[in-house]
Amino acid sequence: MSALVTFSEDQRDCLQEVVNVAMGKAGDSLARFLRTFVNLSVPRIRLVGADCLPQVLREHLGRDQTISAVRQGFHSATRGGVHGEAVTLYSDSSFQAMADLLDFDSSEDANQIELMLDTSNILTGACLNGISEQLGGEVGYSAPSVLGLHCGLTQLMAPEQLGWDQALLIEINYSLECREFYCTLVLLMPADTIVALRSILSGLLEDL
Amino acid sequence: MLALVGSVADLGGTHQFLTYTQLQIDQDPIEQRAWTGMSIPLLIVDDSNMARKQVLRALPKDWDVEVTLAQTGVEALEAITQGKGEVVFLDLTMPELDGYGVLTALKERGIDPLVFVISADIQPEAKERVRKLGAAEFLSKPVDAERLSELLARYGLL
Repeated sequence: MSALVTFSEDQRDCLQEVVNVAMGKAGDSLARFLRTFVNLSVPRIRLVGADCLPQVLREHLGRDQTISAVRQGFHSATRGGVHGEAVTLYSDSSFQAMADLLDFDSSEDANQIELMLDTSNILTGACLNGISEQLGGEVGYSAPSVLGLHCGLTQLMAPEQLGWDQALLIEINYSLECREFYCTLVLLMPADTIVALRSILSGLLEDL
Repeated sequence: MLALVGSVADLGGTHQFLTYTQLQIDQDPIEQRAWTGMSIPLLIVDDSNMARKQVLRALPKDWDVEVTLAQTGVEALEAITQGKGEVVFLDLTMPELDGYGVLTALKERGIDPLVFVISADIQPEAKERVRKLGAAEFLSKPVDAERLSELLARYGLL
């Protein structure tokens, strides 16, 4: 594992704002898909150890809920090899909320998976495109695949599942008013990506 | 020409507001319907230092304004109460008191500055909600200098 790399305060603020704008775009896409207003909150960015990821994510998704999740790998060939994993997590109550809004039967697992893959693709695509538009360069991502269905966070985000010790975590929470919908889009980038990201952010700051 | 008094870089957590004075170098005729003969008190509210800088950079070069920066909704309300925000550029998504909260508080207090929301939340319903709460216009982030100038001209601010 490489030594802990951190951001300067300006770099962190810059990344935060870039993620804010991308979150807004993804939120707008989700709102159009679900035909409802989506609540946004300030995204959280931090360096985390793989072992404390479940605790970190529990706050939004709920302590007692079982959750389901989709993962998509992403990479940017042009920007110093920035790459990572986008994981979209849903509290299991979210399926009913989405099914109601879309007038869709979500009682079958197969339908839930379809719904989850579609929604994740929309969120991840809009968010990653939003980030890469601002940072310059293009981002490619893999097709979404199911990471887990109706399980606990600890099981889903087990360190051995993730294959890294420490990563940059970007956590974007979406919720709906008057509905039990809790979705978290997590971008995880391995420590070696942080160096590349730092130089991109410095460039952006110099242009200001 | 934009002259900033103070340094944007040292906008740390402890500063309440930093006031910047924008000096007007060229004395070209400027239409100032609402604020003839004086600088317009402009308040820029955003929790992000970079976003505040982006807005500062997007301001028309020859716009005669006295700029105050606020990092939180609470600071924004305080500045507006002190007369530092006749025109307000307001972010929506902020910790603690967000932009909706600021608009609601202004409405409750019967204070009516000209508010331009500059937001990353671009949902049509977000636009509708802030309009209902009294915001004049909505601009999406990152703010586009040309669109900003267009809107300011439309409101007779340039």
